[in-house]
Amino acid sequence: MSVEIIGRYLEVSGHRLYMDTAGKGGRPMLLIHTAGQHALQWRFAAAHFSERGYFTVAPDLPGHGKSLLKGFMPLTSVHEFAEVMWNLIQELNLEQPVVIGVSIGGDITLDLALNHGSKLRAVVACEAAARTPTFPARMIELGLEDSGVPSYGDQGYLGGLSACGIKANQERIQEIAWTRRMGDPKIYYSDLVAWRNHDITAGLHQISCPALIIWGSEDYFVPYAFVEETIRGMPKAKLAVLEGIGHYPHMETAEFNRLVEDFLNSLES
Amino acid sequence: MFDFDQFASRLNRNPDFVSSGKFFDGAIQLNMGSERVWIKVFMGRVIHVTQDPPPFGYTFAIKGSLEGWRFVLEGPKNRFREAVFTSRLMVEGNTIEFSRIGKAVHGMIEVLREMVQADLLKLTEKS
Repeated sequence: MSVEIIGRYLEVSGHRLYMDTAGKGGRPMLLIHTAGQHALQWRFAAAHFSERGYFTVAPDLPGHGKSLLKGFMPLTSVHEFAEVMWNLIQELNLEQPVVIGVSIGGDITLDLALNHGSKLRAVVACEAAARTPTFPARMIELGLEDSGVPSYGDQGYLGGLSACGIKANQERIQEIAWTRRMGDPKIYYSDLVAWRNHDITAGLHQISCPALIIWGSEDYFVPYAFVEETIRGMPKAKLAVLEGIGHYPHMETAEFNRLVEDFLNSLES
Repeated sequence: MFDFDQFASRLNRNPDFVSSGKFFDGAIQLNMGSERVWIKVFMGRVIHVTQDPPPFGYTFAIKGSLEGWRFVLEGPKNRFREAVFTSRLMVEGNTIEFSRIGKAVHGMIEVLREMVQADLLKLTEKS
């Protein structure tokens, strides 16, 4: 049976946000995409979890995909994104949602856990960490001007191929690479400003909700040292390493859904 | 270390190199350990390759130790972008042009990987 994914728009924090939703009623699950991308990359997870009793909401972050930006100024702070997501949770009346994010979506997830953890069922932060100063400032400076990043489409495509791990599903790699062609460099590199400046290490120990950190062993955008530092600061969090997987675990492998499902099921017992 | 004729011929047949390089007039230098390879490209075709770079230099150069190049060329996956991101390889010169013809560079790396697999390129220091 194919799962129906339904799009809708909602005004949140002054941004006209687009989101893909799947499932009827059920337990709410918010899915936050990677830098420069959009909700489309959650179509596999949304299908999986909506068939298992979850109501999934995968928004396009402000300025991404079909979401408009208030004032047409890209957001450059993980915390700003997180507060928009918190307002979305409230607007939709999502009670005790599970929040799952990858890359900058994972950083946003950790920020949400820090500031609103008591209102969340659990968080799953993937290819993310308490701080992620991993992209060179010079690269970001160039990227913020179109003239500094010629052939952005090719760069996105090749970057997508490269960022996947050796064990990634081959068809999915092509989809990841192709969707990396979509979008605007100003949005992508503004996300990287947020990514580079994100730092919640001082507050990590305050995170009280159940947390799972997922890291692909071939993710060179997030060296393991940052993940290890994050886990040290969150002693109750669980860590799962996906061997041979890169920066897009939610798309690269079906093992991602099983890992998340096992984690969520463990909370029921 | 290199069969230059094979290299040029394979580059001129590589679709990514030819199509992206079609709008490029410049020179690419590869520093592989102590070896240097200078490649003149004009409108998607390699028109000269030499181990003795001319004094007027290159548009951009990709430089790294043999260990860095082995990381990119010998494994089951093309890890060129990872090597640049992690500074195993360095790009010098006009990095905007490097970015602009990224697909051609990708094609060139694929050709180098094919040559390593076919034993037409040995990543060893010159004796």
